[in-house]
Amino acid sequence: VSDAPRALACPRCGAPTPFRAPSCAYCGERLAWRGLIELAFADPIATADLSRVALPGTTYPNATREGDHVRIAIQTNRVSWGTFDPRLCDAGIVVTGTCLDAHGSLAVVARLISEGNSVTYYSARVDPASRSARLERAIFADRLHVEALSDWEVNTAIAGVGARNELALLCADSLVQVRVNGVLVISVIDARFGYGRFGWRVDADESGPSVVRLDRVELFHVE
Amino acid sequence: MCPACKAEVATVARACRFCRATLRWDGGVPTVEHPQLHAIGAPLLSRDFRREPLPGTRELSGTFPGLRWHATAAGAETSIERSKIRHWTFAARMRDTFVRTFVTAHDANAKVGVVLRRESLDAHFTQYLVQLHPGRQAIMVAREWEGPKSTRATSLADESVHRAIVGPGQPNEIAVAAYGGSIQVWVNHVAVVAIYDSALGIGATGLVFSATEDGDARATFASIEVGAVSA
Repeated sequence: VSDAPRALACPRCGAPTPFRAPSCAYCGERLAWRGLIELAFADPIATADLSRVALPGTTYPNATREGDHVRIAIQTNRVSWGTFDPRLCDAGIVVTGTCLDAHGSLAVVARLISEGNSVTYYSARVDPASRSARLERAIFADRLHVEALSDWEVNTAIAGVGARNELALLCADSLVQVRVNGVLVISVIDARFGYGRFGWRVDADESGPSVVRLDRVELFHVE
Repeated sequence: MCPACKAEVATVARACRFCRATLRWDGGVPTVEHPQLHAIGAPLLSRDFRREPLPGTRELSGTFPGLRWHATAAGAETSIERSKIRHWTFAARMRDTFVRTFVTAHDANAKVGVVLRRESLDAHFTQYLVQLHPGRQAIMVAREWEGPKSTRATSLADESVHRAIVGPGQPNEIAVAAYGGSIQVWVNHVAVVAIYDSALGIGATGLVFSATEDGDARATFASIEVGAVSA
């Protein structure tokens, strides 16, 4: 564990500060905020290089190792997902993978907490077929309830079907940002879910089953 | 180890990098350092229940399955059936907040308190509950997932007796300050609980009233003030 700089910390005393707090609650330092904060990755917390290690999490019955990646078959209108063990407030999750057909999408989840049979989380998805991205927050209880924080929107930074995408979801306090292939495509402020696990997800839509190839899943601190 | 989330922390780290708890070190042992919070300015929202309706309602009296309330000279007198729970919240969504209420439980089965960061998604709610059980002179804090069919709760402060809490028939002043993951509670001006939990960050603020499974309960809510908080 290192003491590298973290996002949204008081520059004087180092205590965490809420985004846009006028002053530090611990030392009283007045805080000045720039217009748009673009979160950056700091030191790694966990890395799953799928050429060598298994996918993090447990819900991937149809995953097979193929050379330097894992190939996941998803049934129509189904999801496979998994998370790293650490629970955090501020972190960035990155998944690198390729959707091999038009039915699949690549996603990451953040701040996932389960309470009995209920699960709450943020999720960022890319749909290579439409070259679109979406950010949502969700509660799964008796069924899945989803709200779009930023609905599907085309971005040319997103690669199409058969091409590799690197999807990242970064959270720091109420800042939630999505990057695809290094480009910031979504930035919102949402304070609802503040803490939990981070992980990967692949989806097949209602139009048919899908196959997705995953190369890496990485979890970072942010600054 | 972080006392709030149990993650590994570097010695003398100012804060936990996993849950954002600010840490204080004493003899190599970390504890959560809570900011010294207080209300600032006039309340943003306030109600005197002798002449104003409960938050989220329009009338001075009303009924709901298992619940009744009406305004009296002492405030909103409410009665609720055993094992039922009811929330009254303002519509405003707030992150950091200070809330103060005066409430009198009339019997041993009543639990009264404050709900914080109550937020819906379809018919599901996430929230923090700060509840007093005056019949036992006890307090508890929980994080809840409330659905139409069931409610799941994680205890953040188990029910514990505190002599600052007065029993049925006498008013308790409950004050709660939430700032980031820090939730601090005072009863009758005495600090009784401080917990750190960063799972829920925003939502509505209001009152909560429930009856234990031992029987119906009555309570009178006199007033509520909700405002900004600062260190």
